[in-house]
Amino acid sequence: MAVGQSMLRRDAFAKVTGDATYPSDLIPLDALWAKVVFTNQAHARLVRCDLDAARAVDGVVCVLTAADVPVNEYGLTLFDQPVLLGLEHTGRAATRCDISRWEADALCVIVAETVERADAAAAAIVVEWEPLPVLADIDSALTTTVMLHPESGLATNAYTHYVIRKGDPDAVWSEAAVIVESDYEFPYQEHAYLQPEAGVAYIDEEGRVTVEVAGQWTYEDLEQIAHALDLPKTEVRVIYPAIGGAFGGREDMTVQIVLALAAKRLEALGIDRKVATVWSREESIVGHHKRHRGKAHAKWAATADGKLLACEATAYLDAGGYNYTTNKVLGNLHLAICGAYEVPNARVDSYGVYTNAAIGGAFRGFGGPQGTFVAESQMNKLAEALGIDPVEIRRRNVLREGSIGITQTVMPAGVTLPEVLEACSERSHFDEPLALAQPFSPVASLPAVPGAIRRGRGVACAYKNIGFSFGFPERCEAEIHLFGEEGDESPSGATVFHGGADVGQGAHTAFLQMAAEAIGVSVEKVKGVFSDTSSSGDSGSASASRLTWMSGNSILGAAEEADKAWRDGARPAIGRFRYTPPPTEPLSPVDGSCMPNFSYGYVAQVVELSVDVETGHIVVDSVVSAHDVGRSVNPLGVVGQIEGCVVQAHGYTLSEDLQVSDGHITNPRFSGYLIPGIGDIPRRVESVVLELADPLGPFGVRGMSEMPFMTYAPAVTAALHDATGVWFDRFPLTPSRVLAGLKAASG
Amino acid sequence: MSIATHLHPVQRHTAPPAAYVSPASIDDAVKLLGTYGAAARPIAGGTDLLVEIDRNARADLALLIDISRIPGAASIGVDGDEAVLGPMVTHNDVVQSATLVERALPLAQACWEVGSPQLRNRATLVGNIVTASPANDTISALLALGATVVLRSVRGTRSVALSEFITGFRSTQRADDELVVELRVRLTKPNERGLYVKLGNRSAQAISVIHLAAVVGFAADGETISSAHIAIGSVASKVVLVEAAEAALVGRKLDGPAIAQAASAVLEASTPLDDVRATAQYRTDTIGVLVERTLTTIAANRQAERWPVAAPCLRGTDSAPSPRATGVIDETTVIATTINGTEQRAAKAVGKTLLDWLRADLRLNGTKEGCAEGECGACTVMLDGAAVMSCLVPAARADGATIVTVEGLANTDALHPIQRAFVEKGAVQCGYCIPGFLVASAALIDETPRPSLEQITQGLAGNLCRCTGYYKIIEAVEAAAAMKRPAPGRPDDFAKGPAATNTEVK
Repeated sequence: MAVGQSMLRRDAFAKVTGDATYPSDLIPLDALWAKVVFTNQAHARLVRCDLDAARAVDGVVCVLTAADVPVNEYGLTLFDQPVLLGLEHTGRAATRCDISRWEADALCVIVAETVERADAAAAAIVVEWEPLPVLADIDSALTTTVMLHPESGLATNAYTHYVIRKGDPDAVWSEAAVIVESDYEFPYQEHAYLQPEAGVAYIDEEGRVTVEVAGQWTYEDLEQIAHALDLPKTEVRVIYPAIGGAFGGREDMTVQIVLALAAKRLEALGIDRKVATVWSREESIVGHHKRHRGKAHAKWAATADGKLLACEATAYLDAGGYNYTTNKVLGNLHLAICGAYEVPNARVDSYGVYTNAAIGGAFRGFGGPQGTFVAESQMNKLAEALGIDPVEIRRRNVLREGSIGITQTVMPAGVTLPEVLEACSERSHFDEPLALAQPFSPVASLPAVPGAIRRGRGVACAYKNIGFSFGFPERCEAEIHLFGEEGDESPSGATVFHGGADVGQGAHTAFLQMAAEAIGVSVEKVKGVFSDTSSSGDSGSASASRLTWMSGNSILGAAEEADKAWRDGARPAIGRFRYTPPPTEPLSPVDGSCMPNFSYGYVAQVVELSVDVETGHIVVDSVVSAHDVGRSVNPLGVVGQIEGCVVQAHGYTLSEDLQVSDGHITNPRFSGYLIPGIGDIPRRVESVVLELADPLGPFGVRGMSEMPFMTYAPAVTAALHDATGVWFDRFPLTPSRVLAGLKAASG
Repeated sequence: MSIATHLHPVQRHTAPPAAYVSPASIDDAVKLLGTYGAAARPIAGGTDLLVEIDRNARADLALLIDISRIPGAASIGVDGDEAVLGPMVTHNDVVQSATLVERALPLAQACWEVGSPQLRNRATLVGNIVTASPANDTISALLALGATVVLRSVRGTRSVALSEFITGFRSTQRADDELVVELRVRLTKPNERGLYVKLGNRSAQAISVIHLAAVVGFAADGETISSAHIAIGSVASKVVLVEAAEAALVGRKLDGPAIAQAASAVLEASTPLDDVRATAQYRTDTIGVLVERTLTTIAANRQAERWPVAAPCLRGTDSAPSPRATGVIDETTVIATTINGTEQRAAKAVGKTLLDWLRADLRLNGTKEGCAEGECGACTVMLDGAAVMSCLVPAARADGATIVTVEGLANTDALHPIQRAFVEKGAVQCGYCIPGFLVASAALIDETPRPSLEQITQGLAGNLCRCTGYYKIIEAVEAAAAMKRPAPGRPDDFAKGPAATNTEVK
């Protein structure tokens, strides 16, 4: 059958011939060019903005400012950002429009005949700013009286705060055999998808303002565009062509609203031409959000036999100038920071903090990796302090079927972390002595210096939600058409209409497989029409490891409806279905209690590494990454997700060092921000795939594409500790940081 | 045009100049420079210059003088105990020169560690020394070996020692009307051993944190040091030839105490700063380690041990720039180029890169832009038989050239084995990097029919992927290398097209 077979991707042929069209490949010769002009001000008040000279530049069609945005506010979960800045606006904006809070706030959009003409117009803008204090980081934002968003009514920049109050940690510290307490910091990460932001907008044949762009959720793009342009949703259309990677970085808007705005203006001017934009790599790095940087303090206590007694943590995420999804990301950190363990007593305070630094937002793992870094580092330190094997101490604490989670509700059925942990331990031979590895040399032209190499290994495990959390109205729609003659027993063909975004993970191929399985036809007979709001319903986002899970359930429902219609004789037989999973609840503001999620994925990883203690270079020799995926729809795709995710986490942990100074990113290029190349990857990644069905998952599926990211950083720091005896509570583990850490420890 | 300082730094760009010329000879190039002076700039590989122009470091340039197609400009000759390198000698030319590998090993090692194969196919040694960044890898090797720069202008010809030619951070003695026409490099004698080392933050495509070269001569007893030259880069405003190291070593044996003293001398000569790549403290802590490891390796006569066997260069044995002399090409000039086997003619080949011209003017959209600075490889194309980053090639360089893009890999009926293997092995996720990987991989297996894992890693070092983690790409290259390429035009059981897209993997 179709589900469970490794399938060649439906889109791979076009992608290897160069025929696949990404947004930047869709630009017709006569398209006009839209340029978003960044303010270049981390925090400043606009005093004067004279656009006359810019408008007078030859080839400029129009220059759009705040006054041109009907509802000048943007935000996926909080309208706290102006679409465009300006001294004048329509009065419909939740926040002041004359203050730049981020270096990539948009001053205006120039529409011109060519990119050169747009650049010339940008250079002709006359602008004056009154500098305001730059809140460069969390600490400066927490200790100032300057409020970045006074409209919130809060007297603090720590605008989001969640708590856990479970049991009484203070009552048990004295009983503990051991207490470990540490400060942690986690860095930014840039998505570095290979395709920079781009898009094309026009008015379609039905009069809808249409944006073709790479995103993660067509309907969310549509809603944000409709909101800002004050249009009925029926007058907006969003289409995704091939998408050059996303990883959470395309969940928020970059070019979507401004392109729609420009297309509407051209329509008003009677100009029947498409308008396009393509960002440079530098604009992409400066102009979209990052994985949040942040910091945490944690204090954990355990009994002599390694049972957790209490976890206490305080954590901060740097939101940057606007919320984006910080309030949601923070929720995930909040759930992860006490680990995937049974914790009888807990006290957690998590804060999202407005600053003028780079914006924080969605990125594969969505706060989970930051929380897990704290939790798993703490657990590894407890194991060391107690002299208990790090796998064994986890065995004694991990969540299992029927466990009460950190938010004081029973874990959804199908808790398989014990099995995943055992599989990882077994396949990595964790109970045997560390195997030898070929010594490496950090200098290509020199032989290795075995005397300078130390080896070590480390383990970490985690859980992460599948689907949106905390009361979000989760849903996913699908439509299936079955074709055939009257009286036919089974359909001769089928078409599935679905909005879910194939950001590169292979979602569309999986949809076809699941549709074929649900209908009971071979996958060759199923066609797909995807990612166009004019033909597909709201699928929700390609994020939160949810898309296969939610889409599969929607496709199963649509197939059932279509089958009913088929048996009633309809041709084509059409089935539409909107799947809604069990409801979830927001965190209680009093004690954090709630049913946060309806499903989870579980992961355990063992990392073996070598470090040259004289240069600080690390080579990861082996990664065993174990996952319960419930059911592999496309096994080849599952392994591809694990391998790619491990390497992305490898970059996060070792080399990706985004530097932000006074609110400005100082290395916004691939030559300065180093993602792993082919020679930098772990020497071996073993994907261990368990298929223990999720009771609610379609065909038993669990989401899995974020899971390999969760545990990698703490597994690496545990391995580095095993190798050197030194704990690293900050990363990335660049040679400079590693060597400094080793030297500091050796006094 | 002056740069508008209110704009964000990443939004301040300058386009390449609107005129381009490919002179017939060095003499013609020198005459052009004499006429235009500072308004013109010679361009060889362009891998530094096009980035500098884009970032506004070369304002008011009116003309690019492309010397890459002057016959003989890429020659490597030997004159007595010196190698004589023409101004178009690329890094890969050095890597593939048996003479230089044997008698100027540190230079070959430095060239091998620059950037990626695609950059090494275009970037020249002369370009390196004219840029004169302290991080430019070849400079330490050239200083340790000893090198002389020969400059010519309509005013005459002069020779300058490299150590004097470079006057400071990214500055040289070159006058605006001068062309570097030769680089003369002292070759090692049989009693000398040389070694170049580079410390970086990534295995390839890494700007040096420290680079260092040492050339040590031994007396007839084979043990007593008769000469010693150590140069170190990325630790001061220019690459430093450490004279005190020679004093520390000559007359002694290359043993622990002597090595330690040399290391102290090199550290003493260094004034490192914090930068995006490493802290000053890190450099201070590792300079001694590098010197010690380098000299220990030389003492053990193991300096050539890690020289790659059959180093992938992603170019065929017959690859060479197509000789071409042009008049001044401007916006209206129609140029002719052979792309994927078909002659194409188009204008507007100035003021932009080859990548932009292919996409915007020829509508060949398969080639992608990922970084526009030669880091990601998504724009890889074959230019006159060599893989290059098309984002760092001036568009007019296409005139009279032969170019292959991803669209040219498949023939009418069948995918190229590398395309087929990428599909079958699951090497394609988002796919945006894939055209570059395919062109580079096809060049790799043309050059190295059964590449080892190490050769695949070396050959694809210039291509970044963010989705796959590279494992499936490696598998695909191995699988493609094992496939037989179908004869052109022959129908293949793995035909192109959506009909085959649901094939199950065995």
